[in-house]
Amino acid sequence: MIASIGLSIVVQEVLRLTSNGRDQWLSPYFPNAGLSFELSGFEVRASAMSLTAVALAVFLCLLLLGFMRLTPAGRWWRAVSEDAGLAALSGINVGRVIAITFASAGGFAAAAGGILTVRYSGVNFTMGLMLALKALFAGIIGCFGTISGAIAGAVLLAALETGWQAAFDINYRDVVVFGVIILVLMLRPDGLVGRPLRVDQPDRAR
Amino acid sequence: MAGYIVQQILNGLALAAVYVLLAVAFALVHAVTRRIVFTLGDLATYASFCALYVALLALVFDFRDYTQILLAFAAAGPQPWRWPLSSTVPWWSRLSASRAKR
Repeated sequence: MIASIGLSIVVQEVLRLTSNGRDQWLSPYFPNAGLSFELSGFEVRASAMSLTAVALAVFLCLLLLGFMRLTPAGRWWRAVSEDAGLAALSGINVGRVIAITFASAGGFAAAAGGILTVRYSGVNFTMGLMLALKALFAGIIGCFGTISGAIAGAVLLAALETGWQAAFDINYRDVVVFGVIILVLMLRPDGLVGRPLRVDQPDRAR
Repeated sequence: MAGYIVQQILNGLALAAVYVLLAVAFALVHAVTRRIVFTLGDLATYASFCALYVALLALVFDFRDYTQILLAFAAAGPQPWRWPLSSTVPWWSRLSASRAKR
């Protein structure tokens, strides 16, 4: 974990130097295209890029879930996540599974970055840390280490953030979000969709 | 009021799209290594920069259609960090596991 923090700082510094420490902005793509209709006297709008971002995320999640359920590589991943030692004894190449996992995780992170650019049109070299923390906590409040838990936690966190900034002062958004995360972790340490950890079955919690 | 709520749901879905992908990335890695890799957040930022520069380049050459988006995602996808990360971290994991056994 310490090595990953070090690598994170290296990437951040490289980005700071290449961007001269400034925010980088892009003019919005197709600002007039997308969904637009009137509902109860309020004009609801969703840009083409927002809809593309949501569609891409849904597609990638379904692809991953299908991959995990239907392919041998998905079964290997589940076996290694249950018990790496037993998986190795069963003939699974654990190193290769970990390598594929890292490559896939890099792809997912890259897709998130691409969505950030086309949806919000602004990039800052420091945004990675806050983004990583929020995504990490989203995974933890769902049930860390499970894909469905991560998805549930992320949707819940986004709903909380959007709900707060729609109804209350946006300056307190992060205070409330992290406060709720602490509360959830106090009340349900295994996450919202996780089963409680049993001492005699430490690896069965997920 | 209903329209306002629907608008907020749409805004929330766009935000959730980012969080979901990154949270899944964290979950994937943590499930098999039991480690948290903080670099994934900065990897997303790096991909954002790649996508931004490619999109700017596309604007310079006046590609005014979905080609821009495809180019941006193509740039964000196969970024050069994935290879060193995927090839070194498993090796490092095995090394630390063998040290722990000793």
